[in-house]
Amino acid sequence: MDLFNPYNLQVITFIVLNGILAISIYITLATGQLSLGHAGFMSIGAYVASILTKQADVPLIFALLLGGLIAGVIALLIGAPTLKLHGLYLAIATLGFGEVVRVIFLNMEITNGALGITGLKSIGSTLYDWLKVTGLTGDSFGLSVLQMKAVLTLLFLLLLFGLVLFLTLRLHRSRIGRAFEAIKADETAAKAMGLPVAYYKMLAFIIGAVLAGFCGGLFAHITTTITPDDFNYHKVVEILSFAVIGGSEIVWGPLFGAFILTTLPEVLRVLAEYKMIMYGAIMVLVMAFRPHGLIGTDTFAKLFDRRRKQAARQAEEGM
Amino acid sequence: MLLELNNVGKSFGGITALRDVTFGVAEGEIVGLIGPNGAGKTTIFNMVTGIFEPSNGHISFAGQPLAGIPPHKITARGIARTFQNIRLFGHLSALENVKVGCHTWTRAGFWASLLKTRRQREEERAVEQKASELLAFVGLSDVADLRADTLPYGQQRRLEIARALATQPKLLLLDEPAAGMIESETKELMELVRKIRDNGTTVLLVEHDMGLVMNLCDKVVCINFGVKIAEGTPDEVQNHPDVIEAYLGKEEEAC
Repeated sequence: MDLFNPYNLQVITFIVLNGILAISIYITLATGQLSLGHAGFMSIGAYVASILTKQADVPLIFALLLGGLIAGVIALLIGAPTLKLHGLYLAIATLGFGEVVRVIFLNMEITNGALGITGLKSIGSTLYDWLKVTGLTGDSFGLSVLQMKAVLTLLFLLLLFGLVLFLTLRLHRSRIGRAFEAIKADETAAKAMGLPVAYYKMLAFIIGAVLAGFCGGLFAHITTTITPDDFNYHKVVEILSFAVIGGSEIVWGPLFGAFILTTLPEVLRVLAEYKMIMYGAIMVLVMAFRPHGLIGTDTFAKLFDRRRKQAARQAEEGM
Repeated sequence: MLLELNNVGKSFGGITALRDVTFGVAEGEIVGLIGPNGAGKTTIFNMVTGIFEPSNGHISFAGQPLAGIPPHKITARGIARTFQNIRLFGHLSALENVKVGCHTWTRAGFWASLLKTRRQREEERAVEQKASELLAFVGLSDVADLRADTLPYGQQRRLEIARALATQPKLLLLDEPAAGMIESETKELMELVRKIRDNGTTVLLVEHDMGLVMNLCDKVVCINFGVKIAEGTPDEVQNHPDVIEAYLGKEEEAC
């Protein structure tokens, strides 16, 4: 397999992008909130960033950040009335929100309705232009322009993903992360321990929305084309599946889920028309044998346990 | 009085759970709240901690009325509680559970946590130390890293107490702390509650184990069907005719 094939590079890029999306759903789920609004927030980020770069010539990175930020502001506004809801009620309310956003984008002039926004300048092209300023081109690395752009996009996403993951892990090991975990486990007990539960749920909801909005901007500038249908109900299910298949107890769960669910359709491509049957079957099997997802807190405990036992055995043998 | 209930009543729809209950808890006391099942003891706890608002009357803590203050702010003011049916954060370790309790007196917010500022790191160290001390205090240092839901029942009860103490309360409410404990565990628990009081925390407890209540408490309040029927020293309450009737029934009926 040729690793530097632009197609393969794009698949890997999407794995990384979905990794950030997985973190976004993980953070919201970390407070026990089942939000189905992530595709909606993603579309807000995508449209805001796209309109900014295409019509106002705003530099890409600012457009991406603004996309995330505005998704966050919208989350604050819709979170105020909906976050009192629990479980499935919150899920339905946020699902409704996502649909409303989609229909609004479908009917607005500035978003170009169902045709969507096309001809965006891709992340690869933007980065390649920067690279050319320094005097380097694809030839300097023995790669074609197309390959070089794909490599640059992937590196850019890996950098962002690394940063987001790093900060997420930091947050997890802090006072805020503990508060999230406590609220997920037992809201009443959390209140009794002095935690402002409503504040933390809102915070998690907004962080999730900002990340989803940011991913939306990235998505738009990778594919260079967006339509409202890119962020429909199927996208909602896809994002949620990362956490369902991978597990939502620890951040590695949704990340693994994103990896599996993005890779699987590519791997199963050889099966041609049987692809979706296999895909569905794998989902059913995972749910049957690992109802809490593939990766949980026990996964690492078992791994470390085995390592510890091995070490103990080696120590014994050494004696 | 540290905690004062004045003519406190509570009704749920048409059902009156509590009627005109008045009593106080003085600083440094261990006060027992007793009464048959359904008498309204846990309702009192829920009103003191802000989960329910009283339908009438008022509750004040350290001279300040508690009306309209949400539960998490009441905890910050110095009232902590444990639950009758243990409510630990099951998937967190014992140590993490206690660390959650340190929330009220720590300040690190979202940005400080992301940036890991020096103050945030110092605070984390303080939390770590305080939590370890409290685990040692209740005798759970050995199991600090185990998941809370894997601990045996008696240890879970003590962990809940450690978690509540982590909020640095002036008043600790214990809801049936000895429920389901064997005698040796109950003895240890009584020692623990005395130590807590000696460290300066006032204790109000609901308990069915009369041995514990009579041995441990400075004052006992007995309620039945939502009405206070006796208040006084353990001896006085134990021999009060209404209390005996509430627990054992009237003599005529017994015949």
